Amino acid sequence: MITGNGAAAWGARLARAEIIPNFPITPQTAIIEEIASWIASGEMDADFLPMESEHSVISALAAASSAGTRVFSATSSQGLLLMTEMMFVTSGLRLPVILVNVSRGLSAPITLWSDHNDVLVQRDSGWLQMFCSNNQEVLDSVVMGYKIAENSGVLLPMMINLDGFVLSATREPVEIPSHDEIDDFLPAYNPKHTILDPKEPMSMGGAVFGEYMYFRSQQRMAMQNSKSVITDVCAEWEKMTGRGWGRGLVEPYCLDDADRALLICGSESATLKYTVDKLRKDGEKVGMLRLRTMRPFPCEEIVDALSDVEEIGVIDQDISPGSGGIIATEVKACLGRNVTSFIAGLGGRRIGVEKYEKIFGRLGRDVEEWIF
Amino acid sequence: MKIINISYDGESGVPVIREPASALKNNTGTWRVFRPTIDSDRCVRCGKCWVFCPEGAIHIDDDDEDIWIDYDHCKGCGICVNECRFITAQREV
Repeated sequence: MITGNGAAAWGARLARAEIIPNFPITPQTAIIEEIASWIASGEMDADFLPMESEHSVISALAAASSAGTRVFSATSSQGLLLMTEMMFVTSGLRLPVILVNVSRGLSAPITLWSDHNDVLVQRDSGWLQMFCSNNQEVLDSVVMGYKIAENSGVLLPMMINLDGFVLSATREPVEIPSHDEIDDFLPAYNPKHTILDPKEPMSMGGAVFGEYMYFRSQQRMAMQNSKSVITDVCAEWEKMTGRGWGRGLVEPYCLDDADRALLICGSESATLKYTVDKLRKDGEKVGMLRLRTMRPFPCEEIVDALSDVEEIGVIDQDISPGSGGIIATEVKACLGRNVTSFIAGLGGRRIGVEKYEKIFGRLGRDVEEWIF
Repeated sequence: MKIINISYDGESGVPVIREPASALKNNTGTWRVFRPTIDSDRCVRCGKCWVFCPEGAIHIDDDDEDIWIDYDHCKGCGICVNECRFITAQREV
């Protein structure tokens, strides 16, 4: 029985992350505390670097990764926002850094509880973004994350999101694979593309003029390539552990004969699954689609999963004031049809079964509705 | 959605430079607004301008015979003009 934070720390330990730059912030701090205690007791062989801010953490992650080491850190909310400038540098230099974000609503006013606006601020930073639904998926995603990010067709950093408190502080049964299993699954990181090596010197990220657009196009293609890599790595993981997480980018639930469906991401999907089961017992044909990756955005997968569903709703635990639910906006663009947009659970506000039942009864309208 | 007009070059798509001194290929002299000129008759070849030039754009030959500025790479910062009374700057025309 371990917490979501414990699962993230175990992911880093199993992947043999070597450099852990860090800065504390609620609700993430328990991750680096756990790693610190393992390093102190000799259970984990890594360098623990306490930094003076999150901007320094991400700078150290990028620097250590370009020295050819496997790196790991975790942050939340305001901390993730302070990293913003270097987030773009890390993806631009194509460094496969793994960063866990324990999502928490943004200030002001201050909240400690989960919503997805912190992650979605970084949506365009060129990082792969993965949302987890439970603690087992957190551990699995961190280990799989290195294999995906370090793939030569991808070479992009990845942010793995778990919801604050709901996952980070809740204990669940988690199966922890052995080091031997993971060593077979995940080979050592041995980069050639961006590496500080005195024998083969290179200058990284220098000024360019018109070529800038070429490098952005390469990032775009790498993101596109990552889709099949994510699917393959999840299939390989499923073979080893029996857990495939919907084989990659989306996880469909009860969609085969559904006439109404909700699209959601993160840990709230567990309550929604329960609601789907409950309504199905009453004969209602409802279903759910869980978004695992926000970037790459699984457009084809969403179209495949939802094209036969009559009424679709999107739950956003985020809001772009002046536009609307961020995920709903993207889903509308990829489906080319209207969906009902629900804004719910901001700052960790409870959603719960009753509200999901209410939401299922309010689909089929082209509106943005706030579920308080 | 299909993406058109771009193809993936793998590791060559990473923004790193492996060739040393390749900045020579980039003619930054076009940025110059003020053009420094050395009065080579009065210059004593002390090398102070050579030391201070941030671009390495000043050249003195091995036997101290000749001194010249590489105008393909001199950005016209004026540091040499500040250091030496025998170097003057004129606005580029």
